[in-house]
Amino acid sequence: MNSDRSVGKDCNACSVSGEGQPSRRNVCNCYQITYEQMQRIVDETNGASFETLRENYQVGSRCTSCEYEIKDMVRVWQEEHARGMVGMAGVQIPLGRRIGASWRGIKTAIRHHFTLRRFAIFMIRRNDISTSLALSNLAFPEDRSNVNGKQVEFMVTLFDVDGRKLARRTGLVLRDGCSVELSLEDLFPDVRGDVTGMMIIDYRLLRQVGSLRPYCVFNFSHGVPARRGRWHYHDKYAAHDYNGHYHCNHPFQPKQECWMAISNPLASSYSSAVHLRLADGTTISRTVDVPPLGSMWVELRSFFGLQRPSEWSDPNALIWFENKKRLMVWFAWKQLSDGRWIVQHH
Amino acid sequence: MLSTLSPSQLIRHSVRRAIAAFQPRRPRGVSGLEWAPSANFVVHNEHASTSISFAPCTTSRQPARYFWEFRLYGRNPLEPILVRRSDVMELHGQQTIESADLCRESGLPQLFHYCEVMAYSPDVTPRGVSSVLVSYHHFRSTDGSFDAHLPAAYIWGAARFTRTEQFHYENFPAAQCTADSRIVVITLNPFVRPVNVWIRLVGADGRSWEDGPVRIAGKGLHRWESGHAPLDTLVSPVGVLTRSDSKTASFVGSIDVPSGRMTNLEHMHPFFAA
Repeated sequence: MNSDRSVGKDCNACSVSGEGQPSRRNVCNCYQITYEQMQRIVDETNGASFETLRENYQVGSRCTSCEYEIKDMVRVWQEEHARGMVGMAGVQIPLGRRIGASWRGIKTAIRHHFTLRRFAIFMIRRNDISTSLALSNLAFPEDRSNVNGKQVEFMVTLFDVDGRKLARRTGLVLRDGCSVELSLEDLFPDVRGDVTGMMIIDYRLLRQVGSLRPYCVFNFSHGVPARRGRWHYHDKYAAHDYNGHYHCNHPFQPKQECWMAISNPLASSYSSAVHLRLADGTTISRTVDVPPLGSMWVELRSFFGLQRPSEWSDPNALIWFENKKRLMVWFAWKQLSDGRWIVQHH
Repeated sequence: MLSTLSPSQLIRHSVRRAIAAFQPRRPRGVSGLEWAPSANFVVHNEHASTSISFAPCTTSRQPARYFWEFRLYGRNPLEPILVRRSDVMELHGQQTIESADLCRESGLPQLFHYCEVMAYSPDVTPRGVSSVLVSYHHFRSTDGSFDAHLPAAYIWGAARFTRTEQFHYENFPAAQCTADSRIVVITLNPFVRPVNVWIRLVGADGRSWEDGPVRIAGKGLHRWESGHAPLDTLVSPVGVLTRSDSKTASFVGSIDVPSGRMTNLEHMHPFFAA
């Protein structure tokens, strides 16, 4: 890589000082609205507020990073308006936009009232590792009350590595404003011994997911029970193919052992070539087969058949999967010196 | 493919195709998205170090030329103290920067600094909602004071709808806040303007406590610890909330007080609007 101390303005998404991108200049990158289009929208609505634009045009409703840029554009428009540079009229949203916004609201309300919200997450209990389910039901702080009511109801289903249903717990309730951490013993007291697999969490009648995205906590004791370590990780992508490769940037860290956790949340099996490229250019390929609703937990050096001493490391190695069908993959590193773990959040 | 669709899917598919037929088409492989940078931080001291690595295949499957630009920021949000630009990379290439090299090149004795990675391709535009080619930071320490593996935080682009009203919020479930475990929150301000941040802890029984505001300079970061929180009134597990007057990205972790070791550090999420 080249290195220098050059000065570069950095106020928008596309600024790069090297070889450039196309000349497009988006204000709202999520909805691909350019500066000129945004200017037209502000003109068309006679300087409507950011909140009105968000509701009717969806700008700023996804990642929200363009909020201040749009507010600045509206403010400039209104200042010009006040100076008489732009014609007078009240805020007006075209009928088609208003119908579109109402239709989106109705569609969302119907979907949320008739479908379960489903999340899936890997879980494991063996030796000194034990995962637990972590949930927080916090109202959006500016709401008078929780949009999901006084409590939310959910159920949890446990599947093993082969995708067989081991147990189901229904009728679980989490009150408004409360957080809970549920171990496998709390959820499924009849399931004993080592377990590796996946939990599916189904919420009933959620108006908004809000803070209710389920997490698992990867608890470990590394031989000293009083000094327990814990790592959070959460469910993965929505039910669409991934536009990149499931991958791990630097699996083989000095004095650390890398493990891979996989859960297949779909009702069809997943199969893919998995490639490992080492820094010296060597590429090793293996196949991963995960049954429907099944899971895997493997140590990567053994998985790729690498015969290397324990002190060997290659931080510039890269692992990637070919099949882009929906899958959930996490990576975890175990410190060889004291057994502590570092778990990738997603 | 059509034979695998249900009747309702078939109708939806046909309607979409009919609508699409009347819309102007972009050339294959071109979207209206532009590549956007992502935010993270670097730690380097006598005990801790950071490996920053980038591989274009993280959110792209398009064979093309890729580049990345790493920017390390100090006090001036308009002027990085260090910029590193990559050579051309292929889709399955990977490059790594070590914090020890950054320390040496910047002339700073240690690092706890905001940084950005602007990764892009001049040949292809992003596809889907992920307009960010994310880098990953692997933090290591010899004394256990800073261990984590974090993806960079999105500034622009999001896979799910975020809910924002007067303030921006992020949340994190089930943190441990006890006499033996302290919560740490590291917040990044990816914008040039300064930002105010409040941190709220919500006990398992719903009682809450808030601290702030903390002012974070543009392209800066702040580390907050729960040392002065009223631990006796908060029941673990604790929900953690950050409130800010502009969009920020926060990471939440725990420190094991007797040993001083970091037991976890992960990123928070916004409230999802849908």
